[in-house]
Parts: sequence; structure tokens; C-alpha cells
Amino acid sequence: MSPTDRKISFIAASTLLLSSLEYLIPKPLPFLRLGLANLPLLLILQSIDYPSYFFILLLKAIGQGMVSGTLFSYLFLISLAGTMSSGYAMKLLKSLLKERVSLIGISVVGAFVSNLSQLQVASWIVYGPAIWVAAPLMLGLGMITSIILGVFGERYLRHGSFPAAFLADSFEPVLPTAEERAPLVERTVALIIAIGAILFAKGPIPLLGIAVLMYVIQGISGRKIRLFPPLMLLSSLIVLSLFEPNGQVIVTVGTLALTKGSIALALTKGLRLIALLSASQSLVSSNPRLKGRLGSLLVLALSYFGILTSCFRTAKGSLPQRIDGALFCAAEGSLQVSANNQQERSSSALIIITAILVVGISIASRVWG
Amino acid sequence: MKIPSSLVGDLVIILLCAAAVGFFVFALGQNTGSGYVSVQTADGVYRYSLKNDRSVTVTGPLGDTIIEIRGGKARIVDSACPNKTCTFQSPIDRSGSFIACLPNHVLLTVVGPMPEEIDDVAY
Repeated sequence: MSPTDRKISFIAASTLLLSSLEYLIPKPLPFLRLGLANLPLLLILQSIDYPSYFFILLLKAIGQGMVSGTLFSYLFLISLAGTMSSGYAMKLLKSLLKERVSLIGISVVGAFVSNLSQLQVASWIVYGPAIWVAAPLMLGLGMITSIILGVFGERYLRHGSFPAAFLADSFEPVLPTAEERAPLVERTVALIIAIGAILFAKGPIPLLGIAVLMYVIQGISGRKIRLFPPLMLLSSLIVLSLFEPNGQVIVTVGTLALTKGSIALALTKGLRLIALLSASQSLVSSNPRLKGRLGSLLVLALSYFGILTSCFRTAKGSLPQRIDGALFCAAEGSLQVSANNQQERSSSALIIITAILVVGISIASRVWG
Repeated sequence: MKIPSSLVGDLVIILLCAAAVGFFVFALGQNTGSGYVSVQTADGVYRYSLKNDRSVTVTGPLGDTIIEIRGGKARIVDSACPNKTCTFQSPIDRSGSFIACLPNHVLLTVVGPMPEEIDDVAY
């Protein structure tokens, strides 16, 4: 591993630490984000070259997908589009305006481009054009949070002790010695087939059955099951379906009406996405391996992330102090963690049987649907 | 604290983005409640967005009435009425305009967002 690769992975890992910290902050809206994870990007913007920057952006998106478990669902495309487009917009702006713009302006542009591209991709793959209803709210809130982030970034750049060390050419994080987790190939294959079956299935009732089975698999895989995000997703789809009536009117809400066809459409879309998200969660925990430079960078970034999280837990002081402390502690390699490598073959068999059931329901939904 | 040289750049960016947000608010205000066609039949009320092209079959006492939505307009393609007057009506897209298949108890009415046009309903 070259020093550059180590640096790339370490910076990517620091974005992961910040996005998981962000995850702990309760949010009233599912789309609302402070964008803490963009802080390291803002700090390195000036000093990093384009190829390294590209890998950092990619690792940030993939790493977040692995930590949140959305990597193998189409929600990942939304976050990938946001990360890449805003990343490049920020870098471009900095190289164009140089000293005539501060981190505040860059952060605002980053948030704006990120929100716009996320809305566009979300409208293409899940929500349809109705999602643009949310544009003013998302963009407006994004401006506020990005100004706050920019101010914080400027202050941290001046007063934090880590950025100075971080930006120096001599900065070289210690290579972690964490063990890698072995990939569970048969689980990966079973889950990829199950994803095909989820995409193939038709109608809300079969998809409900499939979603339940996917949660069973997720439970067996040992990933935490959350009910709030999927319920949020379903209700947002149902609300948006009000704007596109289709079929017999069930109830009217003011000038809008809940219609049978659009409800069925929203449920089908929502349940398919929920099943897919759950499959993605299980797939992440089967430790699939990426090949090539990106693969080894990802493994390195994830182990740095593991160390950073442990360091953060032991660090003391205010939040910026703890982040500073965690970064130093991980870069100096003063703490080593080992991945817990416990796997049971029997649970793989259970997962494969459940995946076969999913395929069965999917085929049945097409035959009798 | 001295005024940083980047202040102008930041302000321009913030103003441009705020203007863009303002544009989205304005565009949203122009586009409240997309137009739909309301279909009243013997067995209930149906609603279809005019945005999506589709063909819909509803059933009345005499049989099926086939409605077609295409290019933001709705018309009746075929109906089980004896004289089929409704199939000869030109497609409707203005708020308040309607097509009725009286024998088969089917009434098509457009609701929002295009303003009413008196010529369309003058008979």
C-alpha cells in the first residue's frame, strides 16, 4: 500500500466516521442532512489532486452504502449521484475561484448540486416527477445547513490541530492490522438471486410476503432491523401518489383524492424498495469482495473506519476535540482492533432456503398475477 | 476581525442559490394540483391524472365505456350506448369541460389546472 493509497483510504474513512456521527443525530425529515461527512472533503479540496479526489468520493459513497446497508439497492444510485456531482462541483469551483471563495460558498454549492442531482435521480428511479414538490424545502434547508457547515469548516481549518498535520505532505497514517472478514460466497449468490426475484415479482401482496422473508434473512444475517425508515418510505410514496390519481376514488382529502390504482402502485413500489433495501443489508453482511485497486482501497478504508470509531469512543472533550483526538489516534495507530470473525454455516443454509421461498413467491406472482 | 477577500464570492454564490430556490417555489406555485379527469359511473367515482397516457374501461348499465387519455386530453373511444354520441365529442382538457354518455351513466369532467373556456361547454 503506497502512502497515497493510505492517505486516500484514511480521508475516506474520516468521512465515514462523520456520516455515522450524523446518523446518530435525530432528524425530523428523512432527507434532512447536515452534511457533516463533507467536512473532510472541504478541508482537503485545495491540496488534493483529481485522481485521488475521485477515489475518495467513490470510497465515501460505497463506504456509506456499506455502513448504512443501502449499497445494493437503487437508493445507492441517489447517494452516488449526489456525492460525485457535488464533489466535482466543489473541486471545480475551488480551482476556478481560488481565494475569491471561502469554504462557505463551496459548501453551499456542494449542497445545492448534491440536492439537485439527488432529486433528479430519485425522480427517475423511485418517486417520479412528483418528488419535485420537495425541491424548495430540500434546497432551502440545504442552504442553511451548508452555510453552517462552511462556517464550521473555516473555523476548524484555522483552529483545529488535525488539519495542519493532515494537509502536510509528510502525513502518513499507520497501516492497520485488522483482520479481514472472509466472504460468504453462497450467501452472496443466494441474495443476488433473491434480488432478481424481488425485481421480477408483481403486485403488492406477493411483495409484502417477500419483504417479510427478506427481513427474516436480514435477522439471520445479524443486521439490525429498523422499522422507521421503511414506514417513512411507504408513507412518503403514498402521499406523493395523491398528486397522480389513478382509478376508483376511496377518500378525498381537500382537492386531492386517494385512488385505488395509485395506492396499489405506491405499495408495489414501496414494498419492492423495502425488500431490496433489506436484501442489500444482508448482502453487505455477506462481505462481498471488490477486485482491483478500488477493492483494496475499500478494505483499507473500512478498517480505518473501524479504528476511527473505536478511537472516537475512547476520546474525550467536546465534539470537535473528540473528532480531532480520534483522527490522531487512528493515524498514529495507537489502537488496534480485530474484526470479530464469527460465522455459522447453518445460518447460511437457512438464508438459502428463505431465498428459494422468495424466488417461489416471485414466480407465483407472475404466473397467477 | 478583518473582512476576508472571499466575502464577495460567497455572497454571490449564496444569492444565486437563493434565487434558484425562489424559482423552484415560484414554479411549484404555478403547478398546484395537476389536472385530472373525474369519471362518474353507476358504481362510483374514478380519477385519472391527465399527465399519464392510458386507456380505461368503466362499466355502466348497458356495458363498457372505453376512455382514452392521451397528450393531456381525455376522450371516449367507444361506449355501449345506442347512438354513441359521446364518441364523436372532441377530446377535453380544460377545467370544467365534460363529455357525457348519458345512456350508460358515464360522465367525464376535467378538473384543474387549465382555466375554463366558455366555448368548450356552450351547448
